[in-house]
Amino acid sequence: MATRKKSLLKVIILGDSSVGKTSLMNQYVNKRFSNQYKATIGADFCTKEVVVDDRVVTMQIWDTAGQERFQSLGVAFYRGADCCVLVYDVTAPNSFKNLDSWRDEFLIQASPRDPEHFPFVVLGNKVDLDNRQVSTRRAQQWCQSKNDIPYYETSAKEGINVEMAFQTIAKNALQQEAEAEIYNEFPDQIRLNSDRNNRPGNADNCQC
Amino acid sequence: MSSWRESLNSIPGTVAAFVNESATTATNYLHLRPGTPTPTTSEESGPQHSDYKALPIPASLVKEQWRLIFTSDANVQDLQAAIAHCRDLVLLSDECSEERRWLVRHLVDLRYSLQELEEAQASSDGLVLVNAIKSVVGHHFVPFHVHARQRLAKRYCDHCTGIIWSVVQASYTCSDCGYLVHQKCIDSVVRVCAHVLVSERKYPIAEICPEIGLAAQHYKCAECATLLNFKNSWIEPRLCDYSGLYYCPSCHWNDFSIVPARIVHNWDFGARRVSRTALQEIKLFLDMPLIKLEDENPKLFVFVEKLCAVKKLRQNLEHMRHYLTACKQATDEKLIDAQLGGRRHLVQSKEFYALSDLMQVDSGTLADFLQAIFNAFDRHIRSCVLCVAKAYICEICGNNEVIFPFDDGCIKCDQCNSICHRVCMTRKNMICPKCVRIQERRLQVERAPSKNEKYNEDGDEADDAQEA
Repeated sequence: MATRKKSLLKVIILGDSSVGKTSLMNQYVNKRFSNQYKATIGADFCTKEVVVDDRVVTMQIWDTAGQERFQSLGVAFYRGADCCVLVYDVTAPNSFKNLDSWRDEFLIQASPRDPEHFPFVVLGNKVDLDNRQVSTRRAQQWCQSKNDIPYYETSAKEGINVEMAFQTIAKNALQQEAEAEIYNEFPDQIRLNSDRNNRPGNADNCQC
Repeated sequence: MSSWRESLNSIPGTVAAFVNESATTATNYLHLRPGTPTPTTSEESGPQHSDYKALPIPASLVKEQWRLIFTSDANVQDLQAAIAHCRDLVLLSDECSEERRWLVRHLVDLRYSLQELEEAQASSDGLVLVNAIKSVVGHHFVPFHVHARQRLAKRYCDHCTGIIWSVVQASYTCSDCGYLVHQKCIDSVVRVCAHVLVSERKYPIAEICPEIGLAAQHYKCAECATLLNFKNSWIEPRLCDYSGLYYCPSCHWNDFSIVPARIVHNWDFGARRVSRTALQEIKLFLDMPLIKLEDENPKLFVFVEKLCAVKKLRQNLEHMRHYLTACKQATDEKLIDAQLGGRRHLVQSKEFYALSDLMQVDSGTLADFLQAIFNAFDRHIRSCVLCVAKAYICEICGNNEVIFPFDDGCIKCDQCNSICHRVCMTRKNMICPKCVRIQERRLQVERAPSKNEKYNEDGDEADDAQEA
């Protein structure tokens, strides 16, 4: 099968402000952590080469602004994402409650081909802190209810589980891509006798 | 010109005099020069109008020791003593009084020159401080040097109106307002520095020529209090179109200038006769973005097409600024600074205009200037990965085409800031889908008030409902 190998994985990190999105990315990409808080403005990305299943792929990680006042800009970069990472702070229950709205908003803006099976990963960050408010059980329950989203408890500060979480993210993103390829078999061919109505991609694209 | 050594010698006496006088200063001053400080009919209403006209300098400070002049022959110790003394005087003065204002101003001047002196000493020991600044009634006088090219131009003293013969006469100019004066006249300067006026007034006079009449001015020049009777045809009263006050010919040289209030209210850029002080003041106001034109004169935007075009451009540029300030590449390239230079206010906000902007609106150069900036910004945003990523996708039609808030044919929701195609939005009866979602979510939260355990189930139901 002549498959078009895609070597760029686009990963979006979402979540409330100050849950540690930027810190997670920095810990993963640069192996660095800073105690100082600096709000992200708009969105920014970092790239990292990773090896998944003996394949080298470039992971493009988009770090986003959680603060509402820095969300005045658009989110066109959600389009074409391969995986979405939802982050909450285990010491802040509200950041956990908001995961729902982050997920919905992402699905609407990114409008993936198969929203039901789009790969998400949930990270409960700041497990190194003592004043934990959201229990592991509760988080796992939520993840289960959303089509078995993988769940990790991380600490960007101590580097706990960060590497593993991102490895899963990369793997799931690749899987999604593989499925898409099966779905979209031989995209470069023109089939003269194909049934037009069965062509994928038409359903969610109104021509206006 | 008294040096600080002399003035320091007489300090004890001055303090006593100052303390005694401070209570009666204001009234003293009003009696001494009734016309000057407040161009109102009643002297009681003076204080509230004091920011409106030339600021009176309290009589206690006008005394020879307090002419607020200091020269380069003062050393660090002198200046430090003077600062300490001035600080004491500030504490002695009434709160919010004019004396205190002037004293604080003086204190700032003293500290500034101390700083300069120390810096000069630190950089090269023994070097004589060349730029000795003399501070008189708010002016900061520096020696005036004639450029070779302008050698032949005639210059007149702003104080005595006589010619300054630059070859034989030394002269000083105020580095803030451009006031030019003979060396011999420097101690008797009356006009308060236009820069001080501008910073006190904060906004150009908003009424068109608010004339109060000669009678209210007691038939005296509003600046130097020369009697303006009609006996002497040389001293004719001259009306200043900016302040609406009458001046004597030595304070009003029949200079022509634009008048801010006439532009704002009448869109009239005609030059009117104004006094010297008004001329200097308007010149300082020229580049300050102070005028909220849409608040002052909203109809103007309907009548003046050029203004409307400029307004639209500025709106678009404001949207673009959000992109550029959030873009690493644009910040590194200093794109905004490179394009705008000192006129950042044009993209910072959309309502403030400077006088010079309005003049350029009228001549049409501002629209061209802004269009060029728009094109440059547009080029960057559409070619930059980060900026394009922060574009919008119309969620009504779901097309993959990216849209920007500054695109024609796109409409922004005032509530949630999302951008849609105008046609798509019209098709949806102008109801923003994102706002609907936000509203639904809020209702859900209200229905299930903080039941943590039940939260999951609730969330699921809502989710199903939305997908249905």
